Amino acid sequence: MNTNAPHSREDEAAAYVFGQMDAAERITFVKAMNQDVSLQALVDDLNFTASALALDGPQAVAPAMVRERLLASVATITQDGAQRPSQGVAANPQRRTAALGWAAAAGFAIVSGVLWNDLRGIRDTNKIVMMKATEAEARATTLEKRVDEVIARDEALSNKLIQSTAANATLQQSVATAIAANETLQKELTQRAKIADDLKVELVQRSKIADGLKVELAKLTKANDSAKMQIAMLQSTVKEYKQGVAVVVWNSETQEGILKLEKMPPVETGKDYQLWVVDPSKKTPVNAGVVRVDEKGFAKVDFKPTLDIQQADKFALSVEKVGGVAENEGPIILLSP
Amino acid sequence: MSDRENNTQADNALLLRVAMGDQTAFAQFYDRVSGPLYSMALRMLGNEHEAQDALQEGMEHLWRKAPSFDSTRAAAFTWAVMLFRSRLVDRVRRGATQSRVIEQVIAQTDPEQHDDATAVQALARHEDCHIVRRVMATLKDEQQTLLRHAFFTGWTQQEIADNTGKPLGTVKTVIRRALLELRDRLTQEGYEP
Repeated sequence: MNTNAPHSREDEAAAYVFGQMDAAERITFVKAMNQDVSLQALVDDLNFTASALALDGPQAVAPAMVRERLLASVATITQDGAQRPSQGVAANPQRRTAALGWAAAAGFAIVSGVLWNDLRGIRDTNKIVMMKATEAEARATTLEKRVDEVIARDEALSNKLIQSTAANATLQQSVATAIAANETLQKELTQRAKIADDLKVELVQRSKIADGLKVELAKLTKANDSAKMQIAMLQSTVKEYKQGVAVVVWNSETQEGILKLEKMPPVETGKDYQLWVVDPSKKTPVNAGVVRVDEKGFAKVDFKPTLDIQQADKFALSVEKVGGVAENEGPIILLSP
Repeated sequence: MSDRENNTQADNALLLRVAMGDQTAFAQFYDRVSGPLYSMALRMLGNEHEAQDALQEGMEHLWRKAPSFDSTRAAAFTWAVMLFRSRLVDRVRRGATQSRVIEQVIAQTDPEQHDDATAVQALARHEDCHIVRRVMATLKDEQQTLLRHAFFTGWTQQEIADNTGKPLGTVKTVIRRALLELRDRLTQEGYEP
């Protein structure tokens, strides 16, 4: 039987409804029907349609005597699965007395007959009950399998849902982390952009300073072409003075020099910047004078060391007591190479 | 609620009472279904005496089987007709009245001319009767003939094929299509479960 082909299925359902199957076909079909609700529904549907054919032919009325006979007979017929009715077996007491002898004589045979009939009825009933029980068992097994399948599908779906929920939570965490990282990066980018802008401004300023110094140098060179000029750029050894710019122009012939400072931080109260010239022929740096910067950290001073300088090896700027000291005491903050 | 629905509910309620062993309900149920069942028996057996005997035997069978009626799967009328028909088919297969029956099955093309007037009048479902006849008349002749063969003769599909000279496949197809068309057209006419 091919229940997958719709037409074949309907052919079989029609044959079943019209009772046109042989026993083997019927058993196979009923089995299939018990496992297929839609097939059962189709059969119910076709049964309903087929039953309408009873109204197709000419209609007649059965004679009244059939009704009378029937109603009399059903009073003595036991329904399948019901108790045998007790009415209709009681005899007239007088006739019973008169017939007592006959009854006694025939009692064994009658009782035996009744019992035999009962036994047959019970056997028939048992067969029907057994068949129904078998059918019910088959249906129960089918239903049990379907329930198991549904439960298994439900569990599989639940597991997928749990996995999917966990994956979703992980993804959400990743997204949140990525958003946070992005925000941090954007902040950092903004800060770096600001630093870059500041650096650009500073670069422009330094370029201007360098240009100014070049002009200054050109002037000095022009003023004393024959002089032995020495130019030194002082570099900071201390972080807070890194942005400071210090240039020394030294004329060894005249023993004079010019110091130009820019962007120098102000010294604390009671302190002054002091310039020193390092001469290898001297035991200690030679004092070249105190230098005071304005509020912008700018100063341009002419200086003349307190001793003659044989060789100006280095120039240094230190922070000393206000008014300066004879010999270097405080920290050297700028030093020429 | 339509007359059809009222009839169906009344039939079902009576049959459920019959299933409980209620003989009064059985008498009422008999009054509602005996007409179509007897008419069917007459048509299939072709003999009044045998049809009356079959009606009594078939109704006794319905009485016995009433506890197995399942109103969720079939209307009481459908259940009664199909169970009764099954008994008739058994009887036909045992008997020798086939040739007369076949003649009747095929010849009864205008059932209203053969109706017992009081029978139709008394029929609780006389409107259903008109609908079924009207709808049957809309089917092709071949469909009507093969449907009646299938329902009233008790033949297998192979027997129908042998007796009508049609291929078995054609018989199956025609019966299937006819039954499905009948169902659809009856539904359109409001004749449905």
